[in-house]
Amino acid sequence: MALTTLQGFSQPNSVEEAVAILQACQDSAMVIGGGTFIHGLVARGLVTDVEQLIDLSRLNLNHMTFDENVIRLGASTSFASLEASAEIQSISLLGALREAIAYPPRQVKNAATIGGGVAASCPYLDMPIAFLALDAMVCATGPDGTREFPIDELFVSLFETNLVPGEIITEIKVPQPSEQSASSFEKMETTANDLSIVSVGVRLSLSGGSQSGARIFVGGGIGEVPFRCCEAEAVLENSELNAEDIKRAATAAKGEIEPFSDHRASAQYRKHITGVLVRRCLARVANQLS
Amino acid sequence: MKQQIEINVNGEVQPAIIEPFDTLLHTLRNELHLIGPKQGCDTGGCGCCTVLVNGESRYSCMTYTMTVADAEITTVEGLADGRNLDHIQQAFIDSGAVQCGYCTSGMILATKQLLSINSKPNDAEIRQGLAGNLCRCTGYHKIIEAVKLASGQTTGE
Repeated sequence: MALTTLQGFSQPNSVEEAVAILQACQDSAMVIGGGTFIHGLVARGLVTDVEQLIDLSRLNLNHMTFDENVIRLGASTSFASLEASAEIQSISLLGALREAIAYPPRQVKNAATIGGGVAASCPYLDMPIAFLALDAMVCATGPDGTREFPIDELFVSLFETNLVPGEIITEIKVPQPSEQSASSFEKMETTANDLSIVSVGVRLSLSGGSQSGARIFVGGGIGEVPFRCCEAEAVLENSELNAEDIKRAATAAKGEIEPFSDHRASAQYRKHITGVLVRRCLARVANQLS
Repeated sequence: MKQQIEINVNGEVQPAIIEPFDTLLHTLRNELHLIGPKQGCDTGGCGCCTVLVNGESRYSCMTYTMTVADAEITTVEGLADGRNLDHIQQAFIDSGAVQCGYCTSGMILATKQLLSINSKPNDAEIRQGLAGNLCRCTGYHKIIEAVKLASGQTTGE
């Protein structure tokens, strides 16, 4: 199926130009990063009224910089270039990002961008869960200038973000905590090409042998936006990350999520798998931090 | 609204008349009559539409032609030099890695990408590298043998 309502295709060369075009087009325009997500929506008849596509690939937003306190990733950075980066591969904090980009096939990694992966506001995608676990910040530029906000504010509901008309994501920033930190991501799918049944991203930080500021997020068929497991996080506050605490946190996580049943999995199954994946991710991270 | 563009496919810059919503797969098959890339799932999952864009493998079914109009596209038709097949094509023949053939052009181009970043992949790396390409005939065994042959890790004896 083709997007036959489409009348134009823009390839702006600067952020300012992209914002101006987007503002002029209002609701009839859609922005694409690598374009891997929109095609699935079009094929399912979910995009029917788009008249303009705005391709952001020429904005040169594919930088990666690694400062002591913050990692800055341009919104157009592809999964393949993340995978090829020695820094991304070596920084222990970024385990969740590494594990999330390992899932898609090479053809998708070459095209898909981190900005597109979060801007779609789809809880079934992997980027939101990985960046939520990493406490990422989103930088967006629009008609009123540039602003920066925590990534959890981006996800308003399914396919709906907090971006105002004319605004585009330019960068994702990952703060590097001063404590020793590591993260992990894992998901379950029915097939390699399907959306996730559930996905889990966690981050733990150790200081003086005790954990503080855990992040545990669940995506997949669990609601309109990713779910933060606050009760499970609380279990791990001041924990020494022994097996007993990890088990209790996993039990808390599966107890607090409210998944739904569909053709992929029942709600009960999603709860069970969430417990399994949270336990695995936490154990992996605890092992790295020990 | 149709427009004429020029597109570099297999080393040749060619005119093509496209709609803004045309996918690269549609342009290659229906405008340029290159039928090596196949339409399978048409949603970026099966891999038989795989082509190289500036040397990187992409699903042409989910790539808008407009986004790659200034890139160098390679389809399976562009691999051979005259009647001399590319060594990956030859390895697929020598290993018997082709049955119905529908996935083959995509498999060969995915292999091309894999070997460009990892010249001697092990079995697990081959499986990972070809994870975006489905084959419903061979059970993959012969395809993995072909990749090992193409990368000089076996002699095919």
